[in-house]
Amino acid sequence: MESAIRPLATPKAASAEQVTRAIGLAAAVMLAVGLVMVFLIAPPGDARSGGEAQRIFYFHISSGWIGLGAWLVTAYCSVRYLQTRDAQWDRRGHASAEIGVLFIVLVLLTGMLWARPAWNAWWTWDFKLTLSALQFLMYVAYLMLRGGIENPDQRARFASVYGIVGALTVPLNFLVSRVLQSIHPAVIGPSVNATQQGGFGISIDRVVILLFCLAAFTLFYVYLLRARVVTLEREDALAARKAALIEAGG
Amino acid sequence: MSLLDDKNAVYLFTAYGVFIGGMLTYVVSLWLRQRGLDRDEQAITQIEQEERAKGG
Repeated sequence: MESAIRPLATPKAASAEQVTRAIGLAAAVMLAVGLVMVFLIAPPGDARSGGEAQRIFYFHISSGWIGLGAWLVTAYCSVRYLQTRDAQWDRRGHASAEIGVLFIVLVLLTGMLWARPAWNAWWTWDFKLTLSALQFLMYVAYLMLRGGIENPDQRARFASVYGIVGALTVPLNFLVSRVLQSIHPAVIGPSVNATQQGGFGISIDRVVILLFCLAAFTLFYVYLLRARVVTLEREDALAARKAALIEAGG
Repeated sequence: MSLLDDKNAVYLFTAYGVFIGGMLTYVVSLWLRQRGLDRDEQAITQIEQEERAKGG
């Protein structure tokens, strides 16, 4: 995977770029190995859990891990921004939310592709599914909020508050199919959900493959985060130079 | 029965196409944004040099 960040002038930035490239390469290799494990090693599911479509589970859960985890990172960065007023924390929170949109979209689309054979329906307005769709909209609203405020300090402040409030939905999403009755299976961890459909036994070989995929996705997220923060730094630096030119010209 | 014989394999392959396509699209979008920033940077540097030449 070619790094998406350009070479920078200072030795520190160049070294950071090398680290980002190395992380990207490692993530690409791990994702490729994960695909081999999913298609060649993982056992197929039974008819109730979608047959061969059950293998969607490994990348679906990993995408959900990043889709939800990215909100928590945004919330942490938001708290740090409000404490320090350091724009770098705001950029990290922004980058994390943007990556979160990607992964929550992947969760929703691939969840539908599994639900069709397992539930015989693409979508139901179950609490868990609805909450996931709501989280996608909340991510988009976060980015729209940022796009709608011109003053950088005000934008960062408002986005930080929204980022912290939005993160409250993360534990709710995790718990909803475990403590309430939901069609969405809770494969990992204890659950009182008796109405779930499409669940399956999480055997040790499945656990190993899932953990590997979670690690690969986490590394890929770190790569994307680092690369996106660099582009945001450059965008801000260019915006400042543009403003200075306009001021000098006017 | 092989993986390809299963009637649900089409959902599996479509889903992994979505995963890989989605992730690659984001990486490409980052690269395109960097290219756009390179162009902006060049243009701003040129204008700054012209302004300096005018002022000096």
